[in-house]
Amino acid sequence: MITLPPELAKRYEKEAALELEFDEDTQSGRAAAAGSSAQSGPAAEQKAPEAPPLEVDLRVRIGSLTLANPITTASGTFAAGREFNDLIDITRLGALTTKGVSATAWKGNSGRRLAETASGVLNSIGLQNPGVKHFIRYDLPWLQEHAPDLPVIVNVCGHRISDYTTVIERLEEAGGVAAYELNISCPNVDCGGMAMGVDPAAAAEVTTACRAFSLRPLIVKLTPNVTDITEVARAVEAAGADAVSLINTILGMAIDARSRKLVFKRGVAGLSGPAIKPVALRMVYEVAHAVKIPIIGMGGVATGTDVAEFMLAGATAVALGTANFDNPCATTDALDELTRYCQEQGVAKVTKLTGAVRPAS
Amino acid sequence: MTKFLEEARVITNRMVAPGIWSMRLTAPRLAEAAAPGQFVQVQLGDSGHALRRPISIYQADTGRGEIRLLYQTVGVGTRLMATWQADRRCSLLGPLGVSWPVPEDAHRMLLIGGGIGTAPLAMLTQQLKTRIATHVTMIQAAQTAERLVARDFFEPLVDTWICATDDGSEGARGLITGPLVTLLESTVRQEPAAAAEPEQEPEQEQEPEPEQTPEQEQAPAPERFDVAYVCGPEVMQIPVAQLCADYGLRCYVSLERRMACGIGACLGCVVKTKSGLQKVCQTGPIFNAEEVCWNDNVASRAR
Ligand SMILES: Cc1cc2nc3c(=O)[nH]c(=O)nc-3n(C[C@H](O)[C@H](O)[C@H](O)COP(=O)(O)OP(=O)(O)OC[C@H]3O[C@@H](n4cnc5c(N)ncnc54)[C@H](O)[C@@H]3O)c2cc1C
Ligand SMILES: Cc1cc2nc3c(=O)[nH]c(=O)nc-3n(C[C@H](O)[C@H](O)[C@H](O)COP(=O)(O)O)c2cc1C
Ligand code: FES
Repeated sequence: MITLPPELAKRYEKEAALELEFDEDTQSGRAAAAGSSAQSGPAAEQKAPEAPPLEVDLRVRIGSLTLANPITTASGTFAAGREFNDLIDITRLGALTTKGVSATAWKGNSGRRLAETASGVLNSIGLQNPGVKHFIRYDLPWLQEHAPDLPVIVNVCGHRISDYTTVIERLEEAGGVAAYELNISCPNVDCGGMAMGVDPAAAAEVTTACRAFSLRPLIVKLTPNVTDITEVARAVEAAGADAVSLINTILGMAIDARSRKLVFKRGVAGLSGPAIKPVALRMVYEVAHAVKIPIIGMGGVATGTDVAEFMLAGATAVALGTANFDNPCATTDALDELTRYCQEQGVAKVTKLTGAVRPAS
Repeated sequence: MTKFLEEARVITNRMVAPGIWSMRLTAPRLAEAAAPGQFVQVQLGDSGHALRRPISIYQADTGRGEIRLLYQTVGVGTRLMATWQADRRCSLLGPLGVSWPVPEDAHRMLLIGGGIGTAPLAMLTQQLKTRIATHVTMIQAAQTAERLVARDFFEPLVDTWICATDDGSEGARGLITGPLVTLLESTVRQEPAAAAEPEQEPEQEQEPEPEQTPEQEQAPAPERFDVAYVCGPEVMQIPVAQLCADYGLRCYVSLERRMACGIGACLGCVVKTKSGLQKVCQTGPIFNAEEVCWNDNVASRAR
């Protein structure tokens, strides 16, 4: 269905050949896991105290892309890694997901951009970014130099479909990108953004359009601000998405009682952080039962236990966003904790967790 | 400048004026690395709060491996900090932001601090006092005399100390701009045109021997200031920056914005400047006042 220029097709073949050999059953993790992990849980307690820690295979797969572990960053909270490089070893991430990149520079929103809420944050950044050219000139080379083996997932944003395809086209020319995450779910811009993400037909249309420009994994990022998130998930799966990521921020608002004014110029803003975790978890669970493609789960994830919960709900990989603000080492801390969790639970392959949640007793 | 996380330990934490607290912490790496004007992101360490709080490094004692923070209790986070007892551990992220620029050729310095805004000026004052032939004047303002934050630190250290209080309980009554105008006027007494056409460049060259200038034989006006350093509420910074511009005085301001990451990754703290949107946590918090587009920014602050 997809016709690519021959030189591009050749490059993909080469890259595919270089890819890590990957265990077959990891791909069908979700289906297979439920039964097996049911027995593996209690095994941990019977382990002899002197036994060496279990070696855990942390690799997961998003479409044709293999990640060394399931941990990634949530777009917009980690820039393109540079700012965090003093604080953590970014090469330990399974993948790095960048801030939204648009075809041309966007100024973002004016006025207040942040407000802390109970266990959360409201933001109205408005996808400020210097555009894809700047990203190619400034961020990609830095990533290639400092983390050559780290898969980079570029979050792509636009006002109209051609904006999305332009970004992908430019990045395909530049190389060095592992996958694309289509942001059709940002509540902080008027045009494009969430408007496409709430309409299954529009979501499918942008997915189809982008699909034609790249064979790399195409991840579509879904908004929670819909009645039924599975409808949009199904629509983008049918349109050729390799994975879905969810959730983007929940539409919220803040009012200053003293001044009797809206805090944000646009009135609304996007809620993230621990406050939204239960909603995110529920949506990951629902989508996991509606589509076959892998899910990158996010929304209030702060610890390795949170990561495990999202995987149990059906996620293949998990992103940490707002958590990086309170703890800049949240991603690598979560990775360490997830590893310990798997060891304690006797889970030798992390993919076994995906979708393995059992009913309450 | 590299930043890092340091697990600090509270040594003392006490109220030094109504609503104003001073916290001493063991933090040897930060004490070593901190430069005047930089800040730390203080982790509240309680799951109800998703964000750290940006607080300036008030003082750093390399010998003892200690830093001090001076903070005002204005909301939930700072009130929580005020409950911290000795030995409490807390995670600090820093040192963040840039430090106050001190131009080589500047020798007459004017510090202008309002309320808690004097905190980031303390290390700067210490730095300036180590330079030769540097004269430091400070104008400090607060609501009341007892809220002249860290007055005991500044008053003996600077060469000239002037204050203003809202209620007139000490110094001039009212806004800081009153004494500021008086001071700036006194330096241009004999050159009334100066405000209209700033000409500070040539003046700096003749600065070492003022007595020999024939026109200034009797009652020489104090020399003009070379740089002003301003920190305090934005409602104070705006008229102060305007006055400095009117008098042709180079002026640096330390700005405050809501922050999430504090390290330049989230774009939550941007301010409009003549060179586009800049991140207060990374390009700032210190800016050349002339660069800041005050009108675009101020209206947008809801506090
Ligand atoms: C670079 C920098 C240095 C600062 N240095 C000092 C200092 O040395 N001493 C001091 O007392 N204060 C300082 N402040 C202001 C201090 O950060 C706020 O007073 C504090 O964050 C308020 O937190 P809260 O939870 O008590 O208030 P709340 O109003 O409950 O806070 C809610 C949210 O808004 C943020 N917020 C509220 N007011 C401000 C503000 N003025 N600036 C930035 N964020 C704000 C908080 O961080 C928090 O995320 C500084 C601010 C910045 C940006
Ligand atoms: C400051 C900030 C900026 C964000 N920017 C983007 C963005 O550019 N693109 C995007 O798809 N999502 C963006 N998001 C949403 C996050 O990637 C994530 O979906 C959401 O915050 C939920 O995860 P969390 O609770 O772990 O932060 C942003 C979130 C925050 C808090
Ligand atoms: S606070 Fe995140 S960029 Fe400044």
